[in-house]
Amino acid sequence: MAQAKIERLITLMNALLGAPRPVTAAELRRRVPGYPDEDASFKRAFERDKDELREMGVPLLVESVPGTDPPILGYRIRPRDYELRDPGLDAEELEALNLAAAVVASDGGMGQRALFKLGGVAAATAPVAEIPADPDLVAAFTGVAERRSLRFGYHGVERVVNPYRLEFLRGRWYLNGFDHVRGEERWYRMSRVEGGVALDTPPSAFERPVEAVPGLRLDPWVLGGHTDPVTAEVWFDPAVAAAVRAELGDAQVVSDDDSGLVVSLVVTNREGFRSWLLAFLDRAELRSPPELRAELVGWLEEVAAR
Amino acid sequence: MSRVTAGTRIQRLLAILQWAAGQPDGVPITELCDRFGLARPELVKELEMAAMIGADSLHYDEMPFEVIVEDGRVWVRLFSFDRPLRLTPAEGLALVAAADALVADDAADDSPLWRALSKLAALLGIEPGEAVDVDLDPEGGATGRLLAEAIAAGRQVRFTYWSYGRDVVEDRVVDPWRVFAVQGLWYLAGRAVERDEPRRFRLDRMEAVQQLDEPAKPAPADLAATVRIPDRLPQIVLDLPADARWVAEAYPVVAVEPSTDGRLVVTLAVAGRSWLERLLLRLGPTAHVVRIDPELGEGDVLADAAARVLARYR
Repeated sequence: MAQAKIERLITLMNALLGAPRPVTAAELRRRVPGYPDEDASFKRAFERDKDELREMGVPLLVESVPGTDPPILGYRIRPRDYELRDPGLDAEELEALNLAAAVVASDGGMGQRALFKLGGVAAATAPVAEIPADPDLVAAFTGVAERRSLRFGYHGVERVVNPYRLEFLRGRWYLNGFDHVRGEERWYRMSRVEGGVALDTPPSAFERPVEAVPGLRLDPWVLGGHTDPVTAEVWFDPAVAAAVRAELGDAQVVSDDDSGLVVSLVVTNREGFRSWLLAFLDRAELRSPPELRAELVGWLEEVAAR
Repeated sequence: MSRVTAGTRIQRLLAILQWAAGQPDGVPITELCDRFGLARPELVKELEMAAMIGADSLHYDEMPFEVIVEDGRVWVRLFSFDRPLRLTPAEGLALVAAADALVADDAADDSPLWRALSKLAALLGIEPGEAVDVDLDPEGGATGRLLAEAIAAGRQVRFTYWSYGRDVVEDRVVDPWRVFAVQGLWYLAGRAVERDEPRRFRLDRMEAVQQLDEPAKPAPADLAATVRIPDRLPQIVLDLPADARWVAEAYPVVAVEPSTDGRLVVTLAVAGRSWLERLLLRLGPTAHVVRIDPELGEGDVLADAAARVLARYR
């Protein structure tokens, strides 16, 4: 059954690809073997085949056949819409891509399918890491690549967003874009999107910002914060120094020796900062500024006295 | 390969035919099998199917390709489908994400992968490294590589470990089994030698990892069932204000019940006393402890923890 369907789909594509004029359903029924005889069954099978081709990414054009009155619909595939432009990958580049797609797999084997089209080979290794992908993410990527606005629900509000950038960080996908409802640029966690992502406009609906969108910072002392920036200096017990450096990277380090690790952070979300700092219990100490230190001591005293 | 849809099978078949058509002297079946990751019977079945397409048609132009299989070799002539189908967004995303995960962040990179990513991005109409950014170390960093070497060598490892739940830093000796990532965090599964128990360790809480000469006992056959979260953990019941609702989202809760004034009563399983101290300190004075499992220790957990941290500031 699956075999017959594949034969039929390839024959159908062949009949439409580069056809000089639109081909009607009646003609396809004659030319493509394997369709059911009965009218209603043919209609259903033909509809399913069209869906199947579209899912594969085949650009199926629907037009009225010239010279028909009343107009009869016909189908064709223009080679320039269908064909992959040669990206001009050399052997070394293709090999590097092959390896990347083998090591970092994406849901549904899409990376492998793409590589087959580009002339790559089958993955010889099991993936080491997997990146989740779902229809919402693909729609968001389509929006980013083709500059189409997106429509989706988020925190109970329907948004229209010009999507600029997708970022995968700590195991999750985030989308950045200009939110028409809020009137500003925002980040969205893709897993929190409500009710699916719809493409809201045709391609080239907006211009991307001239400056690249800065990457997302998930640091709790920054994320969602709106207070004036304060530079905080924090000391950590040597025992947790490695874990802190793994989280922060080296750019924030002031000193690191037997007496402990000292880091400097620019804080714009004080609650987030306090919460993050307290997770280290007495293995961390906020050294400065005095104002922030007094705030933290006040919080602890209130908690201790309750 | 995971599920093979009709679409994937068609694209794969066309890729096979396009590649074989580029070899004027034909190509050995075995070479096609290797290249496209198919077993011989599976490949032969696909080729036989391809040979049938359009073969019984009255019109020669209904035949998209000619496929001849003889003496273990394959010859292909294409009358149609001589270029691959353009990439779908899902395919483009998968490749860009995989490549981006592996290229260095600086754009001055001239590695083959960076060049490939740039060409791919141009094809898709995006800026490389800007439209899609994947932050993922596919090996778990230097620590992950060290552990992978020890696993391959079948040797024990020693490291200093910060047990977050108990807030203890101690030396561990482990038979390493597997390094893996969950939600972007890297873990080692293995047997803690002193306790003779299967355990998971977070890579970012390890320090001074070294491979020992001592051979490691091999991993059990069913790894997944071996390392798991204990069934029975001590519990705490908290009365939380509405703005602390995130607790119920962030941690696996046993039960959540609405209380008065939008407050919530949440029952949580607790990994250790230090874990609980952190949570309570973060929540501050508006969270109330309703009930606490005696296993979690004596006294007022919150006041004791606050006093201990305060001692740093006096």
